[in-house]
Amino acid sequence: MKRITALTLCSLALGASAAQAQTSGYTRYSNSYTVQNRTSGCGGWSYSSGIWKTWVCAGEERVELRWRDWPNQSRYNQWQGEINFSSATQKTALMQIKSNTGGEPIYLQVTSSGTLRNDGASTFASGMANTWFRWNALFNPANGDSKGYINGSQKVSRSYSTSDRHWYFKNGTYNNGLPSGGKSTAQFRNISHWYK
Amino acid sequence: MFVRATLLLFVVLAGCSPERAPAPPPAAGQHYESLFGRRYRTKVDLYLFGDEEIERQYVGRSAGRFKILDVVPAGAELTIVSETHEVTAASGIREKEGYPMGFICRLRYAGKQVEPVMAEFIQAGEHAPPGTANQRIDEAIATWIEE
Repeated sequence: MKRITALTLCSLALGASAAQAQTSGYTRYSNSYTVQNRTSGCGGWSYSSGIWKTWVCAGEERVELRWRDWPNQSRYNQWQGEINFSSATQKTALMQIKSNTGGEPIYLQVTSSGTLRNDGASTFASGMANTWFRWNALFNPANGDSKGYINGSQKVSRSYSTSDRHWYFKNGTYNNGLPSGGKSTAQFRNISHWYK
Repeated sequence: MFVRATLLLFVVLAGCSPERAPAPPPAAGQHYESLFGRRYRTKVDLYLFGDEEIERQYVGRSAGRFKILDVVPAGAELTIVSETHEVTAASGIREKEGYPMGFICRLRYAGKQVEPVMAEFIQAGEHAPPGTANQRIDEAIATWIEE
């Protein structure tokens, strides 16, 4: 098994003016990440021309960008980015708001081809494969409010009560049960992080 | 008559086993939030295991491919503090559907405290439709400490 690849880069100053609705009132900050590559020869990742690409295969665990812990743990924090996943992607988590001790109020999963859901809830979008969409995910640990948006349309609303203050963002491909021979691939661009 | 009375007394006493009843399941639609804060007392010796490549530590009866970090003697206190979607394929939790999640726990034993500890290898649960809270701590391994 490959060891975790540790690579720290600064978040690129990218953004789209059309994506301002969910970040209105927020302050943008620079963040950094490490790549957690727990694959065994098939999975991997790349970064080129502003696009991160990760892929994981059946029998492997994950390839993810693990962003550092939020500097402001008791406020709203928001991840914004564009995602494009392949039609072969299934049973794979693409993005999380996570604490190792507190769980995941946001857990964006591809269940079957082209469909999306948050954690164990119902599918909220279909036909999403092979197209770029904007994903905004936010959480405030102080009041438990958590939401998710696709292209500005709210798809997730959760109340997640917690006293935990070790929250961070992750995005990539986390195998949630790919069938034999399966492979999930996701691309990410224009990632930015915000708080208010 | 004496024999019957003795047998009846035996049956009654046998029914008063010190074993606790299984913890009640959480309400539907709430994931496992109702289990947070619930404490358990382990009944068997367990391994604490993990390795340098992962961020997580686990408890279980066998360590599999992971490195054994410590032995947790029976009588340890295990408290569920949260839940996670990140479970290994080896745990078999996903195959049982329901809410296929692991418990994040605090473990106290031998004057030590470890947190977080993943309980996925000491969980039990029957196959259930998606959206059903079907996971619990295996009562054969740890007993719920009723408050």
